[in-house]
Amino acid sequence: VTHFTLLDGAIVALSLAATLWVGLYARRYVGTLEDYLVAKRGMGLYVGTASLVSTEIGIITYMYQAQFGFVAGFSAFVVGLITLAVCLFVGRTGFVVNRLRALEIMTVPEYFERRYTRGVRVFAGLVMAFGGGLNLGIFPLIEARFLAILTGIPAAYLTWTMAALLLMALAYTAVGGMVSLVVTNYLQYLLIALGTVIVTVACLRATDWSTMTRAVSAQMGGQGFDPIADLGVGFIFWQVLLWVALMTVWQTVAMRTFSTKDPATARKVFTLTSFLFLARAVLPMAWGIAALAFFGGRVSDQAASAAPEPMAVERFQADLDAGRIEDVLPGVDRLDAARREEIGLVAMPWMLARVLPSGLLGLVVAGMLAASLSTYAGYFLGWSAILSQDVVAPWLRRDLSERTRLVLTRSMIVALVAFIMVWSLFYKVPGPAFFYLQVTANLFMAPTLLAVVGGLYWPRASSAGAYLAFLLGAGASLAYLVPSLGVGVATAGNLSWGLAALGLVTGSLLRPDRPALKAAA
Amino acid sequence: MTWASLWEAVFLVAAASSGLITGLIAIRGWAEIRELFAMLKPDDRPRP
Repeated sequence: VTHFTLLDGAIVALSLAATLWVGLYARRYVGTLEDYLVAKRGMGLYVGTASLVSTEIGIITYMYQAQFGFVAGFSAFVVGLITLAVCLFVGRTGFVVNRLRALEIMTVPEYFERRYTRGVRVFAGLVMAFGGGLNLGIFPLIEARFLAILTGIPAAYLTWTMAALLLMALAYTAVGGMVSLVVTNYLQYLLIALGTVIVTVACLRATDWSTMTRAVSAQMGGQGFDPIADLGVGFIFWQVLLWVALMTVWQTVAMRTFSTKDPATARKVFTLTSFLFLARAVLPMAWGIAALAFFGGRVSDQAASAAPEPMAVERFQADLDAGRIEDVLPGVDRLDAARREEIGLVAMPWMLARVLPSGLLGLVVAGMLAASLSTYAGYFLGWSAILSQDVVAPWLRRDLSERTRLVLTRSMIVALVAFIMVWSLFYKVPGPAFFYLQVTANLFMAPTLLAVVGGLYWPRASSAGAYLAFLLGAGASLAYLVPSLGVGVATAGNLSWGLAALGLVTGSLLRPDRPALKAAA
Repeated sequence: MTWASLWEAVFLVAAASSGLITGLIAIRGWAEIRELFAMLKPDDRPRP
């Protein structure tokens, strides 16, 4: 179905070659570990914003947001409003980020050694790297489907294509660190923005706003508009907490905070980012709704009036793989949630493959690949920095030279790439990708934010409390990833926060740190 | 205001504000990268 031609392939190849060249060129500006991890803390407002936003937008982001829009309708937009409000709050008040930036640290767990103990730093680093690895582990799995649909790459070559992308991000991240990231992120942000504009215009040309509204109304009724009725107060509350954590202590976001020139620049980055994060959520969600309206308008009368029988699994999968979304759509209300989510994940790319002409398709794929490369590169550096600086180096219990630490960080990037290649081949995601990603993030976000906030603002917070917060908070989130336990996403999310808070408070009250330890902190 | 009109307004704000900020990033970001390179001059520093 796709109109991807040699011209599109040339556009994509050119954009990738330019990114790789820029990324490798920047390595000459890396001299010290501080240059490598936080670009000598010289990041300005606009480059910092571009770097933060391009790191947090990948193909996977657009896919899960579109999926969420497809299954929840306009109710999904509430997540965009939450990100806007939280990001503005952090930007205006400097909540947590001001103090962390002033400490001149390079990773979040580094703070735990200063405030609690080295043991807390290592333990927190392990939990964060584990959750971060699980989170990153499904990116290639989901993104490969998007690329296969838009470019028509045969399945046999897909794994190799994804491997080549990962190796490309690995190459310039490993040699140039944050300096390479800052420069490539600027270029990638512009490509992402171009791709986003083209897709949004294409969606609104393929259908229109009133058709989208009617499609949501027909498929979901009032629930497609009212987030409280559809998603529930518990889900919304959890999202607020999660976004506060993501904006303040999520390693890849925090690394941008640490890389800015000063705390005031860090706050301004968040203020600008708030509106871009609103768009990061709302625009792709609208693409998902447009796909619902687009394929809904192509359902034949015969299919619409067919007897309400559940569709055979084989036929469902064959239709989905061939992009015959209009054939599976009439049965959507008769399908289970898992199959609705399956359609939602691929409906948007299938619509783009049909409506985008050659040339524009190349620009969109170039933009989407730029999004993914920037995310991979940012996440490689973020999680490997934690593994090397906060887990391996402290565990070795001796001072490592700067050169050794650089080698260690680069080795961790290679190990991380190997892990996600293997994980994405074998793991089956339970439920929507959106929920999986948020739960794996929540696994360490709840305890990390609470231990940081407790450390900064509550003098009695102790290392025993921090340990307990990580143990209980991570355990609750892990329960969601074991389908046989039947723990819902909002339950797991809120439970993780509740138990982490309980752990921090009870652990701190029952076992305060010794005075000598506190004085050192 | 109905839910539907609220979401339409949110969509328009998202599209317009991101367009404006992207324009600013495109123009001013380049100057910031040059500043960063000037600060990180390679000179005689040892290559890691």
